[in-house]
Amino acid sequence: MSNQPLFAPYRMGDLDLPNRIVMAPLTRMRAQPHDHVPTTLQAEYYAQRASAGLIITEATAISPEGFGWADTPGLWTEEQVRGWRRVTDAVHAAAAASSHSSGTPARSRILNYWAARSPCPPRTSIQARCRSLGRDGSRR
Amino acid sequence: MEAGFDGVQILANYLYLISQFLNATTNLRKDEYGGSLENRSRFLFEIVEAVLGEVDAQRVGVKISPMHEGGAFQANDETLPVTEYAIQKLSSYKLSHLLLMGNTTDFTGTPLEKLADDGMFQHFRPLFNGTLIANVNMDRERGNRLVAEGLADLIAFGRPYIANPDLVLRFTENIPLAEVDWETVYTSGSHGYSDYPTYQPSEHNPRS
Repeated sequence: MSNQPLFAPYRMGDLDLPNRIVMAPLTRMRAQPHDHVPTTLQAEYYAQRASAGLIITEATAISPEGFGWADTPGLWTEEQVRGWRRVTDAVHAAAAASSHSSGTPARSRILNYWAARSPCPPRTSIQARCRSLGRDGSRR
Repeated sequence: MEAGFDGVQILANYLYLISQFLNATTNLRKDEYGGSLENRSRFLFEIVEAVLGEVDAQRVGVKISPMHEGGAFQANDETLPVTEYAIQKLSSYKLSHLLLMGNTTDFTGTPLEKLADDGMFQHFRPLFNGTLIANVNMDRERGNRLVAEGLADLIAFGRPYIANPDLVLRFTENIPLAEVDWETVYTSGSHGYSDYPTYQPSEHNPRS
């Protein structure tokens, strides 16, 4: 298919990746406002990109205090787990379909990406920066 | 993992909390989390070990890089040593990967000057025994070269993935990439998000 080094399969830990092309984490602010649940739109967007060897999803807050940006996803409630499950199922299904058609057994993988951030970092000199930003750029 | 992910990545860079501990300018603590570079790194390793208590090491990665941003996050004399210490210690955990970002700002005249461009990967590759993912300002040619030279195992493409859902096909066939519409990167809805088309050969887009 291609003799480019990027297309040599790779084993990362116990995961077989079909190529060495990774979708880097990208903050895109398309989660549901307020409850930070990943949307079907996000599932569609990630599934479109499932031919990557590995997808690293966008920065995801692990607590309500952990946000830096409006409408970014979280992962601490049951609803958010279900929202992410829609995304991961869509990516795995799309990757399985494309690997079947190309005859390569390895499927794309998807990793979550945690942003550890606190509303007030411990005794630092940048307290003014420690609030999250709203869509209008306002501090929340 | 319950949400169907194959692994997790811990973010230890940019302006976020772990970086605030690593950075000698922002970390003013006098306890065991501040002062020496071992102490400033303690928070990172407590997080890594807590996550390893839940998830196999081969499914846990870390994103990290020395950086030169504005204000308190300008690179200082401690920036490189603490990053070297952290990456060497991370290497002993047999993690899934290290995602290492190249420079996102101009390093000229800073303590990180030698890490500009490929210097980042040349410097840190020998310190991390495991999968290294290189990121920032990557294209097809550079990605292939970094893998061929052994400076990275995997290449992470950020901006190219915004406008090119079929990036893998475009690299396979050497098809020109679509451009990002910057106006819609941080807006709402599908426009500029999930409506970038895959490549369509046509009179206007003749394939070579």
